[in-house]
Amino acid sequence: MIYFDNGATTFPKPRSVIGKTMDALRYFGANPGRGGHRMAMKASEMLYEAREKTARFFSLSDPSGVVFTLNCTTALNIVIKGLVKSGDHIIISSLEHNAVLRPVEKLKKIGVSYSIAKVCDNDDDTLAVFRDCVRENTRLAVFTCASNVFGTRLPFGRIAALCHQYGIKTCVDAAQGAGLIPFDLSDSSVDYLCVAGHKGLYGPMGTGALLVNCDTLPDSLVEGGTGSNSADYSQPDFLPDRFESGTANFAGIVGLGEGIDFVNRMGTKYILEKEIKEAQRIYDSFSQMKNVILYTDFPTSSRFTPVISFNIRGRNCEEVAELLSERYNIAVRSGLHCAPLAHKSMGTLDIGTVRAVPSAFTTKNDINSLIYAVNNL
Amino acid sequence: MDNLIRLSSVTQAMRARDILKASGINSRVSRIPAQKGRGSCSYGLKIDNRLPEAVEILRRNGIKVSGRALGGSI
Repeated sequence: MIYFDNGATTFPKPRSVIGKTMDALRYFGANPGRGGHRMAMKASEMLYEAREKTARFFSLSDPSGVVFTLNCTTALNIVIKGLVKSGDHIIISSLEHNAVLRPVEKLKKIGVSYSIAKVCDNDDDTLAVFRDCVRENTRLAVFTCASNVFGTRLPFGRIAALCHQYGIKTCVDAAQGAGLIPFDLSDSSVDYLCVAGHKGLYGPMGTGALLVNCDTLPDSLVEGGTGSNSADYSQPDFLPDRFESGTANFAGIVGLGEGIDFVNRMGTKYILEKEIKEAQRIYDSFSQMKNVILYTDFPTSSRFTPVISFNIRGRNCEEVAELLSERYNIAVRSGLHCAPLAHKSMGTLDIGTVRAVPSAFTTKNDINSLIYAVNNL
Repeated sequence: MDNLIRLSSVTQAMRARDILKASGINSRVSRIPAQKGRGSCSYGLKIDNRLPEAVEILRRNGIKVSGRALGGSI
């Protein structure tokens, strides 16, 4: 299998991640943060180590602010549903995934409104659009750092700073950017950073995190046992317990910590530049094929993350993905990529696209194979 | 007998341990006996000495100490 579906989840995972995850299951399988026996305490230490690594990676000073979740979607839901109330207004961008769009759409039922800020080719214009969306009752702005469909990067730091000028809380969806784009929460107006553990951080699926970078805590989405304050009928009001009810995905989280080590060893800058070069090679080759439709400008690391979305004239994107899989054993993603807003912006809502995303493990031969296959479809 | 510092969670206990270690105070994370009349699960630190200093360091670092005891149960 030649794998280009890394936008959905990276594959393969580093051997070190597999090894650490297996070790967690094999040797340290007690429930962390519950018992006091040796194995439980060792598990708690391992989970805390992963929490510390995650905090350091994003320059969050207090590891307690790292809340482990099942995925980025859960982290986004905690912030969106936990912060706003009836009468509030939310701003989202025109490139949002359904992980943002569907929660805000659902909140309309309780009297929350939202505006969609169109992402422009020019960052200053994007900022101006966000500014125009601000209302007196705007409570929260949620925006991606990079589109999962087209790779377009948003000036998320500038948008966050702008929102803070108006007293608006900011939440960044870093599902596609974590591991590629540097985040420094110690010097940022980003209040809540939501990340997927299983994409650019190379952890197992079923891992994600919410990084809380302010004193305002959303209401809890799920209540239950936390291993703390057990005599209290109310959910703890402190981090991370407020949002970590129930048994954690211990092995997955330990694997995520190892994935972060892997990214640190390679360096986010190196990974981004490597993958951008690969995306550029694909883009260059595809742009010479008359039957291939590309949708963005030439991808540079300052404006894009490494994502190539394309179509082949006269063919349905699903058919293209199937042919690549069946004839060439190449994995790509087709359709709307759970991001109808992004496709609407690009005019591809009715047809979808084929998406190819490289990873740290993508080789020159993989790129050659994809180019050859698309050229021969 | 160990001196005890009760903290809100195992995460806070581990963070507190690391903060104290940076100040040259060794401690270990442990389950802490239940408070009298409040059968609550809790974790904390067991520490050999320098308890008042340790508590002060934790407070300065924003760690909420929910109980402490010299040489025994809280």
